Amino acid sequence: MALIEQLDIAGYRLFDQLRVSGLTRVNLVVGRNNAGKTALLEAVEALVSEGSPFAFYRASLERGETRRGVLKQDSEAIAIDVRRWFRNHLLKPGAHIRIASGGSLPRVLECKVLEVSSDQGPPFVPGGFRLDTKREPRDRASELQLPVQPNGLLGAPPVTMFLDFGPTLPRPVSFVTTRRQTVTELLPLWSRVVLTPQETDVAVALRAIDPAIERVALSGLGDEAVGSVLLHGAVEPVPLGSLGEGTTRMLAIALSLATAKGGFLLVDEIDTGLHHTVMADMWRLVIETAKRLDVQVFATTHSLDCVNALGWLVETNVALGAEVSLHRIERGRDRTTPYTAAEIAAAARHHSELR
Amino acid sequence: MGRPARSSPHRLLVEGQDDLFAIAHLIRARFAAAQSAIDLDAPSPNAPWIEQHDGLENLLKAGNIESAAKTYLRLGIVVDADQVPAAHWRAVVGRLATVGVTVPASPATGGVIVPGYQEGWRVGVWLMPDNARPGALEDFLLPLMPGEDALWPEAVRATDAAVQVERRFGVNDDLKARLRCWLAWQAEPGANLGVAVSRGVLDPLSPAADPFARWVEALFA
Repeated sequence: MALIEQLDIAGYRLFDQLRVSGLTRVNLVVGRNNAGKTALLEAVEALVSEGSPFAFYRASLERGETRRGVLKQDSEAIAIDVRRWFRNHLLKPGAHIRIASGGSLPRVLECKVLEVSSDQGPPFVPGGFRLDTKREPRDRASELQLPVQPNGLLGAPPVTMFLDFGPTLPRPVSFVTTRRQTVTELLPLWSRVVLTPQETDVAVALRAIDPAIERVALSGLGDEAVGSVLLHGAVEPVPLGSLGEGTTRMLAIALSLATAKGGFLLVDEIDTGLHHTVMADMWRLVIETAKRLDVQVFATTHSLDCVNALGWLVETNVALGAEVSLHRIERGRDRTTPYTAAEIAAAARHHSELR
Repeated sequence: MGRPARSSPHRLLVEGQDDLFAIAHLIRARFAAAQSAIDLDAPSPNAPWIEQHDGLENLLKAGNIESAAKTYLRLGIVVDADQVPAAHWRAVVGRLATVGVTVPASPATGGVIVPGYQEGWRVGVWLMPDNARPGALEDFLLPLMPGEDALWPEAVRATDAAVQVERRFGVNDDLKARLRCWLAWQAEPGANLGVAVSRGVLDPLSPAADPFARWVEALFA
């Protein structure tokens, strides 16, 4: 698969202009709090998934930038505060977001804020805004217009518009957030992996956390879904939840990776719930699987253990190093600092804090 | 010895342990007294964390200098000229060039300081002993010995006599051997170079070390 080698983000959240170059198959993004690590993942998601602002919409839901019962037509509907998508939370005509990738996978996504003109009827509101989205390459539906209320809120109805806007040839995209995922959330991923060659990969990944894990299975429906794990020598499986946060986190990463075949995996704070001793194994599994399944990975961390584990791994395994790079975001700077595998390894050797 | 935090945004890369301790004690003696901005005892953001690499070959390994140049606001690199000053200089310059840091093709008296990886950042390179002559840390430290030292001619004679019996060290290492022979006869016999500097056996305040101290100050202060 073609990889994104360079990324330009303008106008999304805290980014005025940001260029990320030197991207490889597996990319670790580091930076201080509020440097924009999560926003960078969201921008990648928007560009490579639907090529629409739906990823921004999901991001707002995840970040809790919602308001309930403020839109007249449906008192219970959730509305998104679109102002958050823009720099300084300023929604005004002319404001615009542009995300573009370079290299062998060139894509562009542009969202522009316009005034609602007097001749436009519903769903556009007088005094409100029109959010125009264009994407390249152009395909069956490459333009989308979303109605935004004068107070900056975007209602639920546009979701169907997002879906219609979906690209002709979508690539799978998995986004693992920092939140602990429930079995119910993991079940749809599991159903796509079970009885495929990737099911074994998942069990192997879990063995990095606990070598006694032989098999894992998710079953049930909706809120009744349960995860079960068969441990070596045991007669009966134990509940997934009894094995600690690291097991569930690793399961979420492994399932998301397996279902992103030929596409993209985005992981926010990849170290969450993982003990520092399993970090190198986690990296080895992620890099090897990403290579085999042709997945491009973007992960964030602010754990020094996580960065160092990657450094030690690529120091001893040059072949894996060729797939890896690290990118440091600094607030207010218009480009990230890219580090090659050799530079990450050097930093780990000399306790240099790249994060 | 008080030292700056590893998380300091300033870093000094040196070849080995001897360089690390000799330079650390020299900086300490020079700048602590003056309540300077690079006092190694006081918690100062300007004090560089000194990082040693177990030899020049390791220091020049791909990734080390590049990674440091991309990470630190102030980066100093101290390497020995040995018998090939131009070659060692070129090696360091080549590593810095890969990350876009441009250093003059030849060293300059007083050391070199150039703009670093990001705007406002600095990189300095110092070629031991004096950015001109061949040599190493010992050539830099020798002039710090008190003048007219009675035991120094004896140390030279003793070392040369030993070589006559059997030469066990390289032909370029005569000074290293003589200096350590001399250190074996001090009040604290056989103290390493760093301790010798910290005790004043080799005087860190000697005018001979002024150019290096000025380079350190210009780079990190």
